[in-house]
Amino acid sequence: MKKTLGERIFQYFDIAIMIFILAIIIFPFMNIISLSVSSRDAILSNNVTLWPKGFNLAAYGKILRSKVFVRSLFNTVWLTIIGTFLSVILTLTVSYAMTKNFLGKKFVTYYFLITMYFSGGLIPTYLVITKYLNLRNTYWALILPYLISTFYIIVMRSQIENIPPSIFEAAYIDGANEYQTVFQIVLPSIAPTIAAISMFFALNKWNSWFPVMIYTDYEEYWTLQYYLRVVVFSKFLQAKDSTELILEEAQIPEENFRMAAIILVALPIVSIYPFVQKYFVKGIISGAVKE
Amino acid sequence: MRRVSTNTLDSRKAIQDLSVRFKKSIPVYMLLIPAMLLLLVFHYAPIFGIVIAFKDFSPFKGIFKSDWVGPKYFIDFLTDENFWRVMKNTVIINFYHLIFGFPFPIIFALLLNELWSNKFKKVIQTISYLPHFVSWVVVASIVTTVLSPTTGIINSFLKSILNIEPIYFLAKQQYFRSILVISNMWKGFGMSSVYYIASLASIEQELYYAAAIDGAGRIKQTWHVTLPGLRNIIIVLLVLNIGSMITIGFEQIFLLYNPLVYDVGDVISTYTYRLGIEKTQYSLTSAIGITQSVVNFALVYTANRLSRIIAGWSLW
Repeated sequence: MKKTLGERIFQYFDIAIMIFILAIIIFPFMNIISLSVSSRDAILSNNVTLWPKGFNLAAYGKILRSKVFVRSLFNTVWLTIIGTFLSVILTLTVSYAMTKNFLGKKFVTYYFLITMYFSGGLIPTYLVITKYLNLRNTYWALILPYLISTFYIIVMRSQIENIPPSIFEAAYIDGANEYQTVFQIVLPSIAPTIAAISMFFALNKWNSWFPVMIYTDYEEYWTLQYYLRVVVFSKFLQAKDSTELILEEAQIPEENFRMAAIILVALPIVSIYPFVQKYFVKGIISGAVKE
Repeated sequence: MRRVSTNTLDSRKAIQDLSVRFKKSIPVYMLLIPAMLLLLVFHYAPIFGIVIAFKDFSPFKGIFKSDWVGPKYFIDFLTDENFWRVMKNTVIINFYHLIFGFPFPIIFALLLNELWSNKFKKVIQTISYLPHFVSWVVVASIVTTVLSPTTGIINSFLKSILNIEPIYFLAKQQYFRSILVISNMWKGFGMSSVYYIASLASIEQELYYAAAIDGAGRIKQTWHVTLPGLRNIIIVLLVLNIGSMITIGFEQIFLLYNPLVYDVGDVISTYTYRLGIEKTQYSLTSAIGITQSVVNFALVYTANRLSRIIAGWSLW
């Protein structure tokens, strides 16, 4: 189809806007990378914008050698893996169970649905976990409270309902029990949904830091995000109630160090997301049109 | 006599049926029990724990033995001007998020849809998702860095182009809410646009051809074909947004605010955190929590009803 002059002009205008939006997303990252490798003098004279001035990788070396960082990375990885694994197993078993007929199904349905709309709130949850279960300074407090999400149960159940019943009948005739049915029949049939939901859980767990802050007191429990919070915002932390310290930003040592920490903490996600984003997009769309 | 005996027979049979159904259900219960126990401990126990809002909770006495004080703490916070300050901030900040943050992904999706090059489209789309994937800690770190008065890129541009002296944006009340709105848009617009891009793809091309034959130009086509095609998804998302208005925003504000901007930036969730966790005002903050839950449920419920009436779609 032939394009009119007006359409051409609009197209260039549209491209210009898109490039502007692109720049707004990319520039901050470029700025921080540049700051992290620039020399200290250039940073303090506010000369560094999008390209590095001078070259200095010392901050990266320092972080990668630091015990706290390595420990935080290790914690983040294993908490994400274990948490995602348990979350997916629980979501799958409950979703499958909810497609069956059983005594008390109505009660169980409400039992799960209510959790979507009511919660005890921050403080009662905090008290139950710290004062009654004594889970302060344990990894349990970082994993167990966040395993179940009713929303994903609803999404997964509607997928399981779409599996042709003949497949289940065959398994039933072969004498498979419920556990075998879940893992040998249901799991492979809805593999794309499982993959998408695993990604959602994994991203949430990878990015979590709040539980570390309220339920633990020692560096051995830190995750990457909490590590970054302490490194970047420590000036605010010291200044909890007085306003003086906040204004002394120039005296905070090692700008490079903080910038390198941002890059190192963002790096794993930034390098993986282009390959997994399609799962998120599909997941979001199918969640929206679930009817 | 006969009737009674059939009755007992019936009820015995009913009990027998029930126990048969129960036995048959056991394998399903085994699948449900682990998840239900977790919810009981970490979700339902705290729900029953909110009873401390009506008690003078002392950690030494525990939930059951603490003294009953009735609505004392509700009256306390409802008559406290600090509470009304954070209530006002919560409403205003979420309202700003809605009027500025909500339309932007729609405009972005429309503009993206008009691009001729599919390759360029794909690149822009993928990069627009990036901020969604990084945590709020990373985003807040970026915001603090680019806005820094000594080393920030924004101040450096302002200085070199307009010769303006460095501004400490995050410590100035007049800028704080704008920073929240803009950084929230920055993080979320790409992923939010996904809904609209998907809906745009599902609009039938014939409608555009028909409109073109009727003499409609591109702008008229957008107005009469594209926007009506997006109508339902816009309403559904608007309703969901309104429904979650009170609960969102903790991480972002908690990471970015400081005592200098409490007046304009402190919201219910951050206030509850400081009072509850840092100052151990357990009963008072539980009372605030209950109020927040009730308001939140009312919002979700109203939003859901509205959605059912306007778009014929609802959550339940």
